[in-house]
Amino acid sequence: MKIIFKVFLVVLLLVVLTANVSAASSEKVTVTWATLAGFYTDWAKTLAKEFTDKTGIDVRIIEMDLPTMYEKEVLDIVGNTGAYDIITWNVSWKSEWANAGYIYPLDDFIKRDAAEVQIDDIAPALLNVSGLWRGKIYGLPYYTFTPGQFYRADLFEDSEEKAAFKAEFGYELDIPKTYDQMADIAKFFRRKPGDTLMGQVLTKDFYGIGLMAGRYNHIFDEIMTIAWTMGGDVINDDGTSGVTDKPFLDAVTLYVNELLPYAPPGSLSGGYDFVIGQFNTGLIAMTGPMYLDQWPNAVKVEKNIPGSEAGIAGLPGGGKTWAGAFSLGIAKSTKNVEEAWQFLKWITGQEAQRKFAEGGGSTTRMSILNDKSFYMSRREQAGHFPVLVNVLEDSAKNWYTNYIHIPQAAKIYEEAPAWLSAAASGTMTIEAAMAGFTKAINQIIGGKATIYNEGFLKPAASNKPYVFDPSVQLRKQK
Amino acid sequence: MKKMDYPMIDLTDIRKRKKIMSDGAYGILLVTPALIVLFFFGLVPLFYAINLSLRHVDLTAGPAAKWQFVGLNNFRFALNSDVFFAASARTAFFAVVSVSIQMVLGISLAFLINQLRWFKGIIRALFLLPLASAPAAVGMIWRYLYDADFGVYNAALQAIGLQPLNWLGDSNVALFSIIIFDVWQWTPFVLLITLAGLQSLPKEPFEAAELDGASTFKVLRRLTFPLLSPVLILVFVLRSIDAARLYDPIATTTRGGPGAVTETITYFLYRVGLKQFRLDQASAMALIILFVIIVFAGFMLRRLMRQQSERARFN
Repeated sequence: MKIIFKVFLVVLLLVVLTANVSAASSEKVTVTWATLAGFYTDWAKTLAKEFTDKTGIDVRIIEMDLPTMYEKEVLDIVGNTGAYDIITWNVSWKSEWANAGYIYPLDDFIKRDAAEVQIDDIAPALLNVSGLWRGKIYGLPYYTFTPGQFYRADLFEDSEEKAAFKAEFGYELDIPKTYDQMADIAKFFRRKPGDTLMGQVLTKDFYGIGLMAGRYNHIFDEIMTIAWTMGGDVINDDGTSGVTDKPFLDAVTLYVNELLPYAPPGSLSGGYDFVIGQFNTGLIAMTGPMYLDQWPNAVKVEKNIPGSEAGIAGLPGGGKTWAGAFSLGIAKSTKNVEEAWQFLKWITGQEAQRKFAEGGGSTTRMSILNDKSFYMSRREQAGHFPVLVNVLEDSAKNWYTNYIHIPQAAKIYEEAPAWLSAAASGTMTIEAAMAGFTKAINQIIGGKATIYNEGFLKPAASNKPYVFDPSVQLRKQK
Repeated sequence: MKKMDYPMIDLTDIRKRKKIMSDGAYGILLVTPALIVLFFFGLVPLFYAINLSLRHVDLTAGPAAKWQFVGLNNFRFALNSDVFFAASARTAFFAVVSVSIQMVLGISLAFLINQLRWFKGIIRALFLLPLASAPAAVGMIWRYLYDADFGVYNAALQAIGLQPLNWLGDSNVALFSIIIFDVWQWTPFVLLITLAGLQSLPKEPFEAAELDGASTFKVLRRLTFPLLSPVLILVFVLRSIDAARLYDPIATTTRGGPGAVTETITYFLYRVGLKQFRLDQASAMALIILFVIIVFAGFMLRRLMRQQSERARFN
């Protein structure tokens, strides 16, 4: 009996102490942010401490791997658990969450805090694509992965290589203006041991191009970029699937038959990180459509391969690519709406974005992207900014896709890799794979999708086609 | 002889004292916590899955969406799905090949280790390492080991003059690469259980066989394996069930590719249930697979259970 009484007293004491602690801690609000794991989040952790010092609002950052981020966030917002106050999304996910009512529209907040938000400073293409849904803004982009292309400028400008290329293909070796030219260049630079490259005899294989052909979302990003340039789209204007139409099939055929044969074997199981590894170790002459935010990693080739220079360029379609960004929004399940907004506004604001850019991040703020004094002195972190601006400006004028204006975009995005990988790996013919993809799309959209593109105008046919201007590049100082 | 005085115990008092609880009720009380856990984490999810499988459930259709009753539509969808059958067939192939190799290797290694006189404990502990490692972390490491351009395995192959392989990108090789990974990770499980079984075998029958001059092969065939068979059957069933649920190696290395050559049934269910968020279809498919596994396990364990009950009757 005495023992039981003593145990009871100890338990009671513990309960009282715990209650006091939690009472004290409950006065401080903690905002939980679910976001992508990586160096961008390491930066964010440092900045979050500054935010807490300024405002007293604690920030807890939950890091997630990209391949599993979608389902983790969906389970929370659908289950209404309130575990995440701020959620991060990829371009394709926004329409589903906004349409289903899982995230707050931010227009009233933006209007109220206009001076701090400075909405006009955010790249219009990024805001339109990753924040806007049916006339309302649901999220603010904080980090852009808009694609361009990396290439070995030293190879492209070598006089011997240029002469050999012209002899074989009949035109000057230069940054590709079309995807057919990209295919020619990929073929040209495919070399085996014993062949020469820039006058040096090779002891191992060298490849013309690096592609993200593994069964990840990246293969969809690559092929969609090519398809948009060729006039194709996943969803036609009438809401039906477009992946078995000629432009899309041509894009997949070019990718599989004319680019992939000149890529390293690891391409069939790799994502963007492996292609960047191939580039910065000198295994490939250029990338296909590649996220420009990877520039700080790609430029490492200049340290690894003496005499090399990493070049950056817009793709043949220019802005007809993913004017993409990870954006932040407020989950409807949150209990801390105002505090969540305060952090969201701050982390996407000018001060935090500048610090992000200083750390090598691809900001979404035009004032920073256009700040010559900023990027000129930081080529290895921000050398891609001028090209990024060039692509984003073209994107705002010349890119439109039905795909991001349907609520089922996320589902199609997650389904695509299985079918595109089947085509790329040869386990299915291109036609059979795209027929399978169409069947899956039809199951997802119920045969026909409703396109919510109010306020979006298709680019005028009279718009001049994109031609990349090399003068915007920030070249290596020789 | 001196008479010893012992305190008298009044047995009538004990016999009369009322029992607080019968033995049967006490037994039930002891297993109740485990039953509660089983109920909440086993039966409730099962019944919930059955409910989902009979409805139309799209988790991302919005909070206002209703889960309409659709009867057996989801089961019909599953049974008409080529992708479901292809993933199931692929999983069955994987399980047969991988588990067979694990059983042969694991049993052989167990016999070898059982013969050792020194360092038995250390070797046993080393074999625990693959089992003790976090599957996701190990999968990431194997992803890099297998890389066609930078991986260690291809570097080793090239160093001895062999052609490198596209371990995860070649559709003819990728599934076997996953099998190798699975064998590496789970052979120790077979080994350790078999070794424990070997070490717990009674010595007398073997001593008698030695006295009778039986050959090693005869001893193995007539004594060792029959005595070990309950352990081996159990290990085989457990490994087969695990192989059918393969997920981590796929998620960390190939994500089901290239194409769908490494898409096992669990990975396919993950795609349907947690990417497309069609929990109705995923639940129906999962219940079909559960049924198949129960039939298989029941068939395999039937003989074992019969043996055990005969043995108990004899004892």
